[in-house]
Amino acid sequence: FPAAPTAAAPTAAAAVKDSAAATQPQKRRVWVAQVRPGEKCGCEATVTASAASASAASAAAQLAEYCRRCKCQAESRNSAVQKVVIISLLLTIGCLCLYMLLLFLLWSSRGARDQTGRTCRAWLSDIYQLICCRHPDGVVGAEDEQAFPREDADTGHSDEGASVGDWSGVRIRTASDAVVTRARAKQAEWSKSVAAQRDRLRCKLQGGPTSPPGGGAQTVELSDNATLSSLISAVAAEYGVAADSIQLSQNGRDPLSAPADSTPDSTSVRSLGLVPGDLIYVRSSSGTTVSGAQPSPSNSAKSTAPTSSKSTPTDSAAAVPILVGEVPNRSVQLCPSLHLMQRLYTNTTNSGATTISSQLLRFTLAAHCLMVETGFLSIDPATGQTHQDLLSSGFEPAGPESAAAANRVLTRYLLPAEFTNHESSTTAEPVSYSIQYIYHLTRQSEFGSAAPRILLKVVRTGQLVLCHCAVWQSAVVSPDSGSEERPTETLCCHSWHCSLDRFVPSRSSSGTGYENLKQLSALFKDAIAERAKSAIHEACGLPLRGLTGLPTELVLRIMRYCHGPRAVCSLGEACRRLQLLHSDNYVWRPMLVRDYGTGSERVAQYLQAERQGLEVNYYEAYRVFHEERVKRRRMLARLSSRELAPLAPPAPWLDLPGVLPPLIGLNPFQAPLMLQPEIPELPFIPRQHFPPPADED
Amino acid sequence: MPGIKLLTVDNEIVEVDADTAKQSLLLRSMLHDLGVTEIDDDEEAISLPHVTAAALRKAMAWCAHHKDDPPPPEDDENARDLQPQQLSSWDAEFLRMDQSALFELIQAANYLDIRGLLDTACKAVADAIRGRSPEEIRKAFNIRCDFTPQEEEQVRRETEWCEEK
Repeated sequence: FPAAPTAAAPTAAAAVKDSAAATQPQKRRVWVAQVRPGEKCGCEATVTASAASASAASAAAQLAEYCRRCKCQAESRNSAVQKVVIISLLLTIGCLCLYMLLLFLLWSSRGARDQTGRTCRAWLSDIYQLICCRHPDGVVGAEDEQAFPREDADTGHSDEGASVGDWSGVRIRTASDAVVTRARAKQAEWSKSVAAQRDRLRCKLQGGPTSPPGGGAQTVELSDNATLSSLISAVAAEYGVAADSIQLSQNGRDPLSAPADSTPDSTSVRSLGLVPGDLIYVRSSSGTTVSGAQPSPSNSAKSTAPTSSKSTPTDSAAAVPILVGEVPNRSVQLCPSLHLMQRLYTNTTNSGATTISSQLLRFTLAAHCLMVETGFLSIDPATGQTHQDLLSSGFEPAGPESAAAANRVLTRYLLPAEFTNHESSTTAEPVSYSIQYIYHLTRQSEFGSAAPRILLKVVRTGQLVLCHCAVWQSAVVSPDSGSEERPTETLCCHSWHCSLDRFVPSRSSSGTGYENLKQLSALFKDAIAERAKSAIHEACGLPLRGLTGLPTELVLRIMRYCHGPRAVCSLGEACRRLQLLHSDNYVWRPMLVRDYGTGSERVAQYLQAERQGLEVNYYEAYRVFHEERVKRRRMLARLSSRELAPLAPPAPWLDLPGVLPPLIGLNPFQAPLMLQPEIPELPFIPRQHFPPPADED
Repeated sequence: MPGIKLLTVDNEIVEVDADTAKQSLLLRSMLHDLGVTEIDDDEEAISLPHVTAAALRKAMAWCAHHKDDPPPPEDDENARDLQPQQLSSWDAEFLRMDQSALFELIQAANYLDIRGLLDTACKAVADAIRGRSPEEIRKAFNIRCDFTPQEEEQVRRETEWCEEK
């Protein structure tokens, strides 16, 4: 086709135009006849000279001049293969990216559930089973969670968690199912037995104040199918009274009687809920207690020993006083001392419930219990008399044998007046309780009125409870102004607060109303009770408590386990005694051997010198080694930071001979002299060569 | 399993299992010296003048749990075994008590000569010390600072060397 003049078609044939302009400046005309694909270079067809201007002879030369493409050898290559390869690569990468994205989404939402309540994991398993054409019965469904237990499942079996990946197995599901069911059954059984035990204990603790704890308890043995009337006659025979003159009671208050539709002869003991080992009270029919307590209708005549012990609950609690801090399990909150406190409280206020409804009161009871455990005795603030003294003057236990036990119980867990005066039914609940104590080693008999007193104040602010404890030493002002006391010297003040719900939740899962007792004990004693105690010990010249009160060898042993100079030195900075102890060889010798002993001749020399009877100061030796190491490290850090700087020009001083070679194959424990010429080798340093650092200056 | 009665300093009689008690080298040698094989009910209790009942019960609980452990190595003078070791989870839970109870337990373990318990409890205290500044240590362990300010400054300068790493 006759094309437009080159000036009019600038883009289509720019290259051609240029060469045409160079060779034929006078005739700027190019005709582009046909454009062909590059792989078939038909130059004759691409550029044709005009018939008018070109002769046959000059046509070939002209063509060679115009056709530049023929010179390009690459033109003949086929790019199809390249294209295919590149496209397939891109496709593969794209697919992988998509897959990664999918996995990422699934992973981030593996715990989430869709509208039907199924997890992603369950969906994945379904998909997997569809792919594998497996249809295990019951796997698909709402129970998918069980089939594929999460790793953090409560069962905690790590092997189950490990086999989660094996999704195709039905066996896993049934196995874990069985485990879960078994565990649940066991748990239910156990909690039922705990509840039963707790109920029994509560029944026993309800015993009225008139029943002397630890009174003469007798054991009665019964056959398996004993009835109520046979129980009564057995008990009557045991005490030598007529059967119709006594009543039995499980809690000391309500008599044990047959249901309305049956007679005592037909009611079996078992149907009344009595089990072997139970404690029942015997009362005369008129209502007064004949005898204290009497345990154990042993249902089976043969098994007597384990179930029918001769102790009443108060007695056993006195024999084994478990501290609040020793409550064995977090879930079982049966703490005898707290139970006793609760019982004392409910007895004095005559409110029926064993669990006290007020959270603050429960907390204060626990705090009081902990103070008593620590060794404090509550006193009457007005008279300064301890409640123990009050009790010993007015308390008359029934039998001579039970007196000791009862005394032990009641004095150990005695309630202060704040509780006994508190009438929850008539007044609004107070927001604070304050109790005064004295320490049992500083009784007034020896210390007079100068005995330190402790005031514990428990204040409630919202859901927080604040415990404040002040210790002061009172003194008589002067003989002529009467015996008026006033706080003269405050020994210490400590405060601590916590959340009420953490320890005395309003709705407790356990029947006692307390939780985390062990934790409460540790925190309260550390923050309040023990601090007050050590302050009193210090003020009254009693043996010191705590870390500083430990014997020397134990302090050294603790320092030895500190595993580092920093911790030992921090300890040494705390007080004078620790400062004296902290540089002892017992602490530093093992540390020196551990940190610098491997392959060091100097350390070996020290040890040998010590074996020869010379005195070596390992503290100073460790210090020298430590300082050497610090210097070496600094030097290394400086050098290596220069070396590693990528863009900086090479430092000229690094090329100096003798600076770089020591870096190669450097043993950190063997200092090359090149790096620290100022520290010579120390063959052996006896103690006298180490003047104390103060003299160095 | 025969039980032995121990009378603690706070006048309580604690009955412990004889096999468990034999982990205490003191009790073991005592039982050996006394030639106690059969213990009847009216046997007189062994008096332990430096141990409280609570600490004794705790120590025996520890012994009962660790009764199958190998005996700890002898106190190595050079103590290459001083590498920091994590306490086992049971021990860590067991030692979660207030400090004074912990120190009482350490003293009881020392008196009764139960090496494993002594080491474990000392490690627990050392763990509580590690990483704290002197002021924090004073606060945590209720230590009164009896230095004068000048002395404190001097002590601080003397121990400065271990600050550098």
